[in-house]
Amino acid sequence: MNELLEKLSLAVESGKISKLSPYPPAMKGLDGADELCQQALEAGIKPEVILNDALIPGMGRIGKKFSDGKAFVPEMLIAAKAMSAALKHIKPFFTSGEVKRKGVFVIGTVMGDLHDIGKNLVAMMIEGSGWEVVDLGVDVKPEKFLEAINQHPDCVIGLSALLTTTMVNMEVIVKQIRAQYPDNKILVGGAPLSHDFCKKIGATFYSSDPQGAVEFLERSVA
Amino acid sequence: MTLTERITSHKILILDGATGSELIARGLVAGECPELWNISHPETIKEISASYFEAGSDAVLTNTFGGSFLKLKAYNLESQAYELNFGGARNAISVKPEGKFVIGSIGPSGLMLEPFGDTTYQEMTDSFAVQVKAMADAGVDGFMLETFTDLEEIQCAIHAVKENSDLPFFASMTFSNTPDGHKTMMGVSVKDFVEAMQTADALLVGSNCGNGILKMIDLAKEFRSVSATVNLLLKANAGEPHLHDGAICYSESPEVFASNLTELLAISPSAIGGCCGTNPEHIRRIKQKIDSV
Repeated sequence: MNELLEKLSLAVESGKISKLSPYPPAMKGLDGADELCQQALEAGIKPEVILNDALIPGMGRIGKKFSDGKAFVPEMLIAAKAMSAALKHIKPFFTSGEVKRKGVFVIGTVMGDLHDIGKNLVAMMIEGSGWEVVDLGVDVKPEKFLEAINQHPDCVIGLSALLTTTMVNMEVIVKQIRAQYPDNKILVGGAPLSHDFCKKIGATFYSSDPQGAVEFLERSVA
Repeated sequence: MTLTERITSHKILILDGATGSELIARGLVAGECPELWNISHPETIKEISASYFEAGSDAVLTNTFGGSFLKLKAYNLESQAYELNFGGARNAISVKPEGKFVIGSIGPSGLMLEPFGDTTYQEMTDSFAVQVKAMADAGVDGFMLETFTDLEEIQCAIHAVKENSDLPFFASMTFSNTPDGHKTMMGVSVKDFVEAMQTADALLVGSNCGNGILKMIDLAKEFRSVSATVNLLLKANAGEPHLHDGAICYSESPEVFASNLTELLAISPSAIGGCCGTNPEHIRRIKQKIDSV
């Protein structure tokens, strides 16, 4: 593989955002995802190739480590930040249509719940894997999800909840979505959830970690 | 007797059970700020504390888990941080029987410190300092820093406690199992946590929440393997939540909880209580068990 792409992939995996960013200490002074992505474009590498051969695999490796209990939230967050720094150079090509998005992913933390660490991680990971992400924020009411689906009829929906007191609101939201949009896929996630809970409320898929959601989406467009 | 004297007496301290699920049972709606009830429904808060004292708790935690101003910002209540924490402490103290204790609960901010998030060490410390001042003024016996997952964030809270009071504190994090032992979601190991808290002079060190008493036993064993002498605090929740007739139920009844207490007590905890989903009945069972040993 191209050396530049390899470096970029490693920068994303390691959470090296830019040359000036202090993290990780071992990569002090080296180019980060920001500079390396710019250099790759200047070297004439197609944005789609950068996305598929550097950014997605880099994020995938850290996502896998997280699933395996070998990396934790800080490493994931900083890798996602590095990914975003690279992605901002790719975004104009999405807008121009040169690179096609894989689909639209609408995500929000359900009504009553204000926690967003998990929701943000999933949103960043999925955006990094080539989807357009519509982030509805926290404390999202059913109507707001319905409105977003109306605007993006083919979207996949993601619901997040941290509290046992708010996970029940997922059932309410899933029911309302299903009544109008029986075929859209609905992903659920959050600390107190389980496969059993996902099944009981009629959602499509549950994953205990963001990488699981990314892989599910990959399979759904394959 | 002060809280420190009580802990060093080596008689196990019985803590309380959940506050959140008790509030919901009394009408708190998801999305409402639980700390606001300290001033809007003080009688309800007092009733919950009294029910735990009555069930056998030696120490009850205040309803101030989310009372840091960074956390209250989400409800636009940050300007009332002092008042909500002071009120929370006064509610519990007003129903405290002679010889028992009220501990000021301090939970994480929900934000990430730099470089992973945007919050600075100073902002984080200031946010906890308001809670500490308010509850020290109200007359709590100590603090419990609970459900933390980030070592640096709990250090901010400890800093706030030490700068603004002379009171002792308990430090408690939430762990899950990984291939390399138990770690918090931020990647903190039991060993690193215990060592840091011993250096910081925590009166009790331990864990709360998680996935029930059975998993808490494994975790407690790891704490013991790291330190034979650490004064251990254990506050398990009532198992994994599941959906039953549209409502959330916890898998571990007071009976299940009680039947596993022998194994937990064999690890010699200094303090024991319940977290999410536990109620005064769980505490009554803990009390019966401890009294019978």
